[in-house]
Amino acid sequence: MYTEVDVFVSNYTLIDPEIYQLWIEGCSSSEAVSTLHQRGFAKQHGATVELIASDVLDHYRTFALLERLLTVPSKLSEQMIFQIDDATKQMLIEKYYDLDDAVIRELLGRKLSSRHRKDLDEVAERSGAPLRCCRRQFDNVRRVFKAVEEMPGNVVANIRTTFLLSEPLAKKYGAVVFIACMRFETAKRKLTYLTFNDFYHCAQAIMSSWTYSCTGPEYYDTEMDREFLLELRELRILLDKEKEHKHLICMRLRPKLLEKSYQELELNFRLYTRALVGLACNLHRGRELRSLFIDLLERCVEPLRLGSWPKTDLAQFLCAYEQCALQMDVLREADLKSVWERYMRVISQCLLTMYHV
Amino acid sequence: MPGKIKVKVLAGRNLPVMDRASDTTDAFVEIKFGSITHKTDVCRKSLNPHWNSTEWYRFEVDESELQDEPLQLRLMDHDTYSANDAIGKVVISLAPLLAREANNAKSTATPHGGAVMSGWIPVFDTMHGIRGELNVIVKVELFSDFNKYKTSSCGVQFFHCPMIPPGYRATSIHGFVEELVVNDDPEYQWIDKIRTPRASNEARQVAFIKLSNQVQRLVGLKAAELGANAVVGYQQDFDLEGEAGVVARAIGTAVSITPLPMPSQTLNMPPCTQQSERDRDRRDDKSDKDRGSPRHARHESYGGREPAQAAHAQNSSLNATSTPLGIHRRSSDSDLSVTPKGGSLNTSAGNVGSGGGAILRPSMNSNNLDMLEYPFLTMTEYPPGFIVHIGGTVCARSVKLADGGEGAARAAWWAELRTELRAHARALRCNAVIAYTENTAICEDVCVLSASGTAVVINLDCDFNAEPEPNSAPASSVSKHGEESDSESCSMSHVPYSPGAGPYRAELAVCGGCRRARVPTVLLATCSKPNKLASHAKAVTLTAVAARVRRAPPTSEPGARDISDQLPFLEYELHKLLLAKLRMQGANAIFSLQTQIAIGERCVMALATGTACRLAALPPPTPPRIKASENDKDALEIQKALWDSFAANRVANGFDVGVTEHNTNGALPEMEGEDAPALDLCADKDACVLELDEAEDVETARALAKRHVNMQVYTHGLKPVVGAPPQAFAQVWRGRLSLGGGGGSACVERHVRRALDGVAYKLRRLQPAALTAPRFQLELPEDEIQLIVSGAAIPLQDPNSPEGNTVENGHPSSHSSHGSHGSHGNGTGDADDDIFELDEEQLVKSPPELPEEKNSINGQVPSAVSLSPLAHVSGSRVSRRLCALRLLFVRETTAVRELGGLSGFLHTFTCEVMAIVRAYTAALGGNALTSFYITQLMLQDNAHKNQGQCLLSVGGDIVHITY
Repeated sequence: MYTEVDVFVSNYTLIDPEIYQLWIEGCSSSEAVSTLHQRGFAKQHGATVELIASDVLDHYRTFALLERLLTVPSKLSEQMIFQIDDATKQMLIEKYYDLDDAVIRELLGRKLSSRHRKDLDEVAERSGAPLRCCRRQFDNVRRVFKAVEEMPGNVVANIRTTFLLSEPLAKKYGAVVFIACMRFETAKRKLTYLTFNDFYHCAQAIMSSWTYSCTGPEYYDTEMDREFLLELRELRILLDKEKEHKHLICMRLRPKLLEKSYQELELNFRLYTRALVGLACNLHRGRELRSLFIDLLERCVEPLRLGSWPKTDLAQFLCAYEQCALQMDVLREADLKSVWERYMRVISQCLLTMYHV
Repeated sequence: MPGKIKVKVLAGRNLPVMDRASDTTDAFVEIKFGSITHKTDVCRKSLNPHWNSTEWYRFEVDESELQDEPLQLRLMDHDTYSANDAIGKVVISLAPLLAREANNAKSTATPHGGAVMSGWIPVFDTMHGIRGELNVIVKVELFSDFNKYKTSSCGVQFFHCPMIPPGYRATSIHGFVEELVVNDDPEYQWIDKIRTPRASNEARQVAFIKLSNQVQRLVGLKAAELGANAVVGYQQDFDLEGEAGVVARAIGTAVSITPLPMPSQTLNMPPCTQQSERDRDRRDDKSDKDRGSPRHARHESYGGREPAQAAHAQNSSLNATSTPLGIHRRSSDSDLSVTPKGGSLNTSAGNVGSGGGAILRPSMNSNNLDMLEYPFLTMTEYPPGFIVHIGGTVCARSVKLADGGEGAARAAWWAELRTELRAHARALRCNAVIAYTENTAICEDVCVLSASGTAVVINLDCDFNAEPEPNSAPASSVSKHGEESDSESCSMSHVPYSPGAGPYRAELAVCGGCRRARVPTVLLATCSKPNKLASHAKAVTLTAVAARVRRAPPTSEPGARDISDQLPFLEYELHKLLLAKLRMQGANAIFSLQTQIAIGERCVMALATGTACRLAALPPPTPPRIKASENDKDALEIQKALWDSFAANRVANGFDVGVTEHNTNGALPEMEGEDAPALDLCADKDACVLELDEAEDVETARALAKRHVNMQVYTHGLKPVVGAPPQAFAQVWRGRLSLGGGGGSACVERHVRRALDGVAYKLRRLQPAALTAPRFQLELPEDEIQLIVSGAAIPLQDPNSPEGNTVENGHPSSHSSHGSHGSHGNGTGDADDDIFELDEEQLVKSPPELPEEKNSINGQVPSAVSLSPLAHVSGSRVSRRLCALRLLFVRETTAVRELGGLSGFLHTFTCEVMAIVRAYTAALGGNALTSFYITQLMLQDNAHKNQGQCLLSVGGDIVHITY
């Protein structure tokens, strides 16, 4: 039926979480109506399709008006146009900034400039999410990135206060922002098997151990600790004491590992230790740091996979590898123990995360 | 120099970017009152400017100007080289402040802060909507003025509240006050052709606000002349007559009220002793002297203002002036015995096309005025004992041609109608008309004026102070008053005339309560249901639409004559349909009945809405029957369907239970016993309800047989969730009008239906909830039909869940400590008793606790403002009644498509208007607006120009509530 105006406005703004979810997911209004219809709204509330449509349109108009405010969540609490209780406001923000793992995985490593906003079709295609939904997430990530990029202090805390997000969601954004800041290579074909969650854990580890975060609020935790990276070069001495290191590890692991893994270790220890220490020595170079994940994959994960290590054994090995080096005199003498610990904490975490069996 | 205004502009926030180059704004504010303008400094390059001056901008103005002129704050962006750009405006009417200031000056006992308005007010631009907010403080100081011939009425308080406001005690009711002002509509002046849309809209908005203030001042003046200190049941309307100008009309009831002692409010009021008439007179005289208002001297001129009424005024002046309470019935017996003349309906108007149709059609019997000029009261709820008998709805209409004449001509039109209505009431042997309203419908230059109300017999000697508190106000008060007499509960429904002497042949029956007096079989009333009247608990919203195609060109005399000819038929059809629907619901009375006429270019429609209920005193309705020839198969089928749905409706409404819960003596007639009559068609004309003569009738009958489930109507018996505010809403629907059979009535009927369904569906998350009587506004712009429904949903306690839980879970804002109060109170049975109990409990526990403190302790969002179309906010108590608020907005856009079509435009605008209303309410110290109304005066669009324009008028009474 021809309708020119159909508007329902209430004093306390009505927000139906179900319709909001559909909007967030990028459904058009007609898609939302048919979805709701299929879910049995008609029977449940005795409503006709026409009524459902009218209600959905009311909501969509409200959401369109709210969207302007949601881009600056602090405005949502200050604004006077919509009377919404705090719990609902929080829900609106949280869902609006919600990240789809599949979508965000595709967005990782992309340039966050408006020029690239046009190229989201590919993201949509690969993640299976509607384009509208991808755009929203792209815009959100871009906005968060721009807002906190230059802000001193803890990035997660900054995101939380600026965008009023919950801790878990802010952490996710923190990881995304960090990966973007570091310009880590994540989009290589070989790395596609990694999920967003894998990168999230790796980024968390790096942020907590390798950045300035622990040293004070005037530092950025989206910036690598340069001194630490330079110190990593000194770890080269470990390669000179390779024999001793290997001996200590074998002693410790012999009773713990599977026979097959142990054999593998004895055989290829040199390969592994060169890869791990070599990586450390080169991290002060920007290019090497950016290709951290690809290097970890090519130089460690792939050989380990060839050796078909079970994950538990890998964990044992990494633990022993770290501990045994600490026992050696070279590190103590060179005053590198803490550097080594800091390095291995992250590398172990990354390798275990990236090592999908 | 009787008034001083002080304004301070502190800061702005969220301003729009006006300078693209730097992404900032150089903001300053122009503060204008009358012809004087002040300016703040320019706050450079900030979207959140602070004007650090501690300076007050002062205006010293004359009192009448103080009331009429609005204070205008214009937020500007400073440009060094080009002209400064306007960002938006804040227009503040000082009336709310003046009322408070004047009151504070009078009663030093009430300590609530001076007349200050302070807070963030949205900056509104007619082209862009809300553009940031300004933090302003406005103070008003009045100097006492004992000038006899003053032209202002600052001391008179205004309430939209349709009863004596809870929290006040009425000492006397003075009577009807009305005023009407005509002015040019700036939209239609020649200058509009050369100025920008913004300038034009702003001029219009300010002109309308001035008009509104002016009419209020004049009403206040009339009330003051009557010796009143307040106007309740205040209604104000604008008639946009296009080139002929704009008419601001206002009606109200002048009363003298005094605030009750603060903490107890109305709830625990000791029953006041009745004062003798002389006492009251003396006090009133005294107060008159105090106020220096020369009531006696001025009264003649009051009448004299309208030439048509001069004679009446003289007649009545003696009576009216000597007793302020003096709505005394003075009519002689000869009055009563005048035989009604059937055919003299239109005698009141010799004017073009005056059609005096009425739902009840008593004829004129005399022009003698024996009471106040017009014994009309605009209130819809009254203290118990005030209404003695209800006669029924009376209504008078006339068709006029708006020719841009003077205000006096229009005043005369209304005077005619009022006179006619008074005559109708008198024909019903009633001495007053209550719940009186006036409406107009305009199409081009043809307008239909309607005056309607409920004719009643009132007793002015009743105890005004035993006001029913709306929250408690029980239908079950019967049990309380049970000792007095059983007839007490039913006497209101007794007809005020003797069976033989009725003005028209009415069907009467023996009262079901006392079994002695006569009652009508069906009662229609515009007032809300008096609590004393015993009824079934459930009430149903009832709507009926009638439409007729216009047969003449829509404008000028032929158009007016055509409308005038059609009106009686229209009303007849409407009435018939309404009664049929009422019967189908198994109900026998309609309260809060509103009827409105809408004229379009091609058709004319009438929409009636009301709340149907089943009164115990009136006879139960019989199932509908159909008149048709014996062998008509169809007819039998329809008859069967009608009976089925009749029975189903009755069960659904709970009307099938014989004895109401309120009726303690069980004296109801056995309606159970009635057997369904045999399924036959009725040949006897008198007993039948529907005649199936025409195809349309069959359609109607089919439509009647269809059952609809409505959202529950809010009645006093229901228990709202404590602390859960009502959800006020406005729904606008506009679509193409298809003139099907019956001039499109079926189409409109469907839309009305759909609107109610829509409201129920859209508020589904609030369930269980009840709807306050929704207000419908029907308009027929061009080839379209527009229907606005406004009202509020009140969350109810879930009857299925244990009572204690409901309160806690019911709403996020209800605090647990309150929950215990609420659940305790509500657990105990009768609603009124709980409130008393609850209140006493609070009093005992925490007498020194101030409402404000309590509020903040409860952790309620201080900024949350509730809007309620009722006189109270359900689930809360009004701790302070501050002032009336009326706002008017003009909004235009040249980007309709970008805003999401006309719907998007209207959606945005309505949201913004509600936001501004809330901001004003908060700034004036309230946290709720009762008697809230939102009226759309106009919505136009021009699809080719991508342009749209809309006018909204909103208002209500600002109150401070505590949960």
